[in-house]
Amino acid sequence: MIKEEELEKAAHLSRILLSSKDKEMHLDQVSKILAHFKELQKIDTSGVEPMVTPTEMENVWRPDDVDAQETQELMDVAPDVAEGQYKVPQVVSG
Amino acid sequence: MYSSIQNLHDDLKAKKVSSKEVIQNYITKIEESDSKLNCFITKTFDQALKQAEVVDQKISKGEELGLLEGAPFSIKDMFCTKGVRTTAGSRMLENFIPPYSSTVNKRLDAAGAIMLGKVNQDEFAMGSSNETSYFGPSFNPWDVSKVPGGSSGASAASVAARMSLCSMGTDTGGSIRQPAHFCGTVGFKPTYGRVSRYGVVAFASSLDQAGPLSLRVEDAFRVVQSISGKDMMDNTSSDKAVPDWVSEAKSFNGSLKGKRVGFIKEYAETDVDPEIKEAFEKSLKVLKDAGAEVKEVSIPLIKHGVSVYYLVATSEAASNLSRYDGVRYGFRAEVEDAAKGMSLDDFYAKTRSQGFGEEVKRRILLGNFALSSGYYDAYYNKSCQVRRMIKSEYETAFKDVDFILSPVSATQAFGVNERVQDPLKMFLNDFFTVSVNLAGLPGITVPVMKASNGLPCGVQLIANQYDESHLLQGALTLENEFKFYEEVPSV
Repeated sequence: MIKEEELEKAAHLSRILLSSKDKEMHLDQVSKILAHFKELQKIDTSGVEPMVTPTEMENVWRPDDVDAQETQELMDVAPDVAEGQYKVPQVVSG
Repeated sequence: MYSSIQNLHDDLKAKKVSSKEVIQNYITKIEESDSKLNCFITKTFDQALKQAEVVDQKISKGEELGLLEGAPFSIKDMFCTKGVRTTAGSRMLENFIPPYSSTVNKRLDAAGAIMLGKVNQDEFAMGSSNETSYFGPSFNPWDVSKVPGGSSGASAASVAARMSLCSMGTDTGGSIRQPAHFCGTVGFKPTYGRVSRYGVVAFASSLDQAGPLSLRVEDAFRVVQSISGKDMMDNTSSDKAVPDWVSEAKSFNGSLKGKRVGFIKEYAETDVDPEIKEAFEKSLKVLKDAGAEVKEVSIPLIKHGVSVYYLVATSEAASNLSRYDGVRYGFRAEVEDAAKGMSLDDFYAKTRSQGFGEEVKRRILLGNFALSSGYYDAYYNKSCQVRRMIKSEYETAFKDVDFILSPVSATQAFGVNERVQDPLKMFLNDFFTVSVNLAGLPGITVPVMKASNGLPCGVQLIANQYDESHLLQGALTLENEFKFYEEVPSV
């Protein structure tokens, strides 16, 4: 069973708000799922390099060209822009 | 309605039918049937008819047809399509109109495919039943009280219901192969890296792979042949030569002499529905009768596949989906009293809490939990280690066999609302498909038979990385025997 503060920490990292009803549901469901995942602890993985992608590869380089037309098109899909910049509601650091 | 691109091309070239008439027939079918199935989120009929006119001009001038020329496609709403709304089944992207197209879509266009519209899916491809979509579930054309599977559920349903000849799906843990099994279509996930992921909405980048759903095996390979190959916009795309599978399919003589087909011991020991077992055994016999030698292989860690998969997939998803911030594109929550100001974190959280559905939030939470300090080693890192061990067990198995036969799922399509309340049970559905993604292998579902409840049952073939040619031979052998494409649902 995960603790409520652990769930709250994950919710903060996720930038997701949880109502008390959500918390109750996730505490139950996330705990059950994590309990199932615990089976992995029994496997001896000492010395095994973690695998993060199925194909071994190297960096590929290409020129990073800025295309003004593309920039405009990307800005056009934003919820709010002003003077070529993204606009957000007034934010204050707290 | 057609069941293969080859038949369509024969008729077009013989001028028995025009491309425009073909597209119009599919549009009519969509208008008749989709109210029952809820497959199409966005329809692009006008554009499709215009493309068909171009195909007809090509034919009248006697020009050569592209591999997919005139073939009517539905496209899962994970693929960015320039100027055409792309939702990923989410409120977050409900009104998102991408300024660019995925490499897959560009290559489909270049090969002459015609898009009829964008189809439903689980939200951000997270689900196995199509029930997590913001746009409501899609339904199974063989029995509308059942799910079509997921996450490419509407891709499979639209092909099975003859609303499109082919569809593009994505498969992160079985999302092409499982709905193909539930709906009685072919579903082909190529080797990780065969097909560029550029412009495909990201779920779990080390697992995601695009692939087709179709009625015929040859069509599935025809599509993958058209869209495969190195793309400078996707670092993980492979520069390995793409075989000419269309020619390989034509020249295949039906014999599997000298080939070795494996079945996985741990899967054989798993309880499955009796008719799933029957479909598997019938298929094994067909492969054996075609000359293949049958061998048992063991992948002992496969029983941990679901745990490894969900840890890797949710961790990558938590990272990938952090881009949805309500600032650059997509949904932004209404902020009351904006003048008073709020913290930036609260602004993000409000947007994300309203923009994402339950399943997506659950997976982001799980992923961030697995990645958080104190749990990283025990969960995320551990799962990546076991992932390597599973891949190495597959590598050992492929020293003994050329391809593996397995079930796709333990059951046929289940009921709408039957499992959605139990996320762990929903995760465990994916037992037979996830390890293929973990190891980056190609896999294909071939439909075999209808069960006594009238629902389709398929089987899965799995091959080593970049060895899709063996899948082609195995899948064609099964298709020649079962001819499931002759079965048409009545919806």
